[in-house]
Amino acid sequence: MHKYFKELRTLLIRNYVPLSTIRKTIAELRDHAEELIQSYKNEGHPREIAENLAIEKLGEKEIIVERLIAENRNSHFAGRHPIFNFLILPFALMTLIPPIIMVLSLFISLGLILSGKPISPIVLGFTGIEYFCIYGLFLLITIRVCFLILNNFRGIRWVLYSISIMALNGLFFYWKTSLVLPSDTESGSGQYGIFNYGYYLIINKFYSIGPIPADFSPNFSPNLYMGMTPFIIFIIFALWYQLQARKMLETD
Amino acid sequence: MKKTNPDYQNGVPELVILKILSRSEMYGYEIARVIITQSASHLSYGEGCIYPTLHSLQRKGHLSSRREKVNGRERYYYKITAKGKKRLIALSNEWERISQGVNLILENKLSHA
Repeated sequence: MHKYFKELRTLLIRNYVPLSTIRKTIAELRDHAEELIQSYKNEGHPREIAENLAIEKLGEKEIIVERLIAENRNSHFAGRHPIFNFLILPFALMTLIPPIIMVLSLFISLGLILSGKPISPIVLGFTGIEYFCIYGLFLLITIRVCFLILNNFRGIRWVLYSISIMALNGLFFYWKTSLVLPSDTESGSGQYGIFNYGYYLIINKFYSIGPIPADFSPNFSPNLYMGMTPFIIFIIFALWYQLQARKMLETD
Repeated sequence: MKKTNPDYQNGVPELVILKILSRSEMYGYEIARVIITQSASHLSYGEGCIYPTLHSLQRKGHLSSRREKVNGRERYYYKITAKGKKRLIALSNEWERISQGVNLILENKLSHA
């Protein structure tokens, strides 16, 4: 394969253009070049010169790469709206999940009250199903966002920024502790989530939640595994792409 | 290296390619030859640049393609779809309107010169 096509393909892989697009484009350009070479040879040029003329006729590879990237981005909503993809979507993930969980938890609390268990209406009892829903929701959205980020690759800075928002989400929304009230946790156990204090202040306006622990303070309860999840998912996607790209290079 | 004519990029490739493919099914090299011969080489561009446009038109459903093996090489033939024909009419009308407007300005400029 001519150096031109190799370099073009490397540039496209570096920009995470879908491999199917790369395969098709390279095949078309090679076919086009062969046709041009043939016509130059028919004009009496030797093969080497005909090849150089054909490559020149195809145009600058940087422009072709630029067009292909633009075309790929324009074909997806997320690509056409990078601010939404890289900023709003991860942020929405961060801010929308807690209220969903809160509502879900309130329903569970209500269920516990109706079943006659002695529990505050706001204290939240978590079950295995609830964890499954929360982490499942988080994982699904994270996988989707990571896929969109890779498919609309705009440089490592954008990737780190976007993934970090989701990682912070996973890290600090330690769902259980962020919603448990201080009176229902062991003092100093670190079971106050990042939002406990805010919730506590609001809830206390409307509902008496009992004595405040002397050492009450909003502690962080980071969930390291959830914080690492977006990075791990993105790295898996990127490695998978590179593995497939390598296979493609080997077959040519 | 052949530089791309910037004027050629503002929606014109779409119109030109749709128009050419409205006559018959073709592959990239053929399309490039038709553009050059029928425009009397006035449209200057790197021929490789037609492929992103072809892919874009295909993704939008304006073109369909089929693959064929020719001399051991993969070749993709493109043809216009019904949606593409509608798009061609819309683009042609738009182009007509713009070119008439530009011509009026140029004629006016010339008459004042």
